Amino acid sequence: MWMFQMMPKLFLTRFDGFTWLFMRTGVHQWLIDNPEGWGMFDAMFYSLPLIYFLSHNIFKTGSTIIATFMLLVNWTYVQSYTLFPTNSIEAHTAWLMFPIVFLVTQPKTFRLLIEGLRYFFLFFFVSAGLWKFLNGGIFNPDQMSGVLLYQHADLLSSSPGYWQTEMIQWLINHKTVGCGLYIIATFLELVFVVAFFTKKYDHLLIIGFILFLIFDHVLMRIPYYEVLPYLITLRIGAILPNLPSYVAQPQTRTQSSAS
Amino acid sequence: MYLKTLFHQNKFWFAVVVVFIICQLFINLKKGMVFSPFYHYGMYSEVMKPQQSYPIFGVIVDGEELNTKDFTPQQWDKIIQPIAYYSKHQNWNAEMFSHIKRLTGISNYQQYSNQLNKNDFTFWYQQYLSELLGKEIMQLSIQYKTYQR
Repeated sequence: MWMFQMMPKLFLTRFDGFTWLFMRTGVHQWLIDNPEGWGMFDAMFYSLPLIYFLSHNIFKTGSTIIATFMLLVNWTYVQSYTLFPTNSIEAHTAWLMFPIVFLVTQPKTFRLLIEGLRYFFLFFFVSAGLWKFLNGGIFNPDQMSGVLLYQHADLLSSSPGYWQTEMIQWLINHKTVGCGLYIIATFLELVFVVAFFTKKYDHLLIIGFILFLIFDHVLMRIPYYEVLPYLITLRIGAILPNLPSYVAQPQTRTQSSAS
Repeated sequence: MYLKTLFHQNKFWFAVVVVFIICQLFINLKKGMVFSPFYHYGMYSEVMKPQQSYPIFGVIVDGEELNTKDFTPQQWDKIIQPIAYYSKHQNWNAEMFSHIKRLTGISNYQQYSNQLNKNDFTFWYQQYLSELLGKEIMQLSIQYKTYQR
């Protein structure tokens, strides 16, 4: 994701109330008219995490101000970038959400906000499974064939004989197998509901999620890797073992009497 | 348990998280319009029946049509998406603006539409594609085609 590579020239307005208000600022049109702004946006977007790290870990000052600025920059960048020709904004939520956890200085509040992101990630995946029931995709035996044809019409047309084309064509023709894959994907999404109640299976969910992304790439040609940072929320205890646990520890007799 | 702990730790962030949950659920129950960062994560949940034909784009560079298989999904998106956007931007943005005007009263259409004609787009796309492919393009043609099963 680089603004300077995209060289934005046109945009599509999306059905998003926040985006409508954002577009009132005219930032998206300024970017179209000012190519020098592309590099500036990229530089700010990609350097701020490092600047935050330095301020928090080395200089030990100003990290909250930088985190606030990072939040503002990320929102401006992602809102603009996804108006221009690219994938949907839903794939970029990690860029929007993660800066929030750096706004706080208390380790326990930080841990709690990371846990909040964990629930958000679980909701994102579980709701994707539920929508397949509510919108009826799961009940359509031709669903996967329809999805593959819609997604790969240009590949099927321009690249006959290519291994990926052959694989997709085979799945389109074998509707039962395609339908089975769709059901497995839906089941995988729904299985994440378990993690609302226990962390015992988080390591399996991480494997499942990575497999989902790989299949998304190979079968759908959708690179959905921008959501990968959410996996951190499933392993935060191992990544930052010194963070306080968010679950209140039962007090010992001595602590109770001392307080 | 989580919300209770958050409430005891920090009441401001507790309020933020509760409001977030309510908004996320509301947007999902209501369907239709979203409000960043509250989205629907449908992911091909709508019923999609196989069609007999699909509209596609052909990009011909110096007499040779670009093949999807020669590019990564990211590269192919970068090639095709600008054309897909250009092909529908006028109707799409006009329709979106009718919603914007109806729901917010905003009347400045300029901020929600592209000031771009076909020549501007073609000139820009040739430069853009040239950067993407890493070579100078002498002749470029974009075709609106149909894929027949």
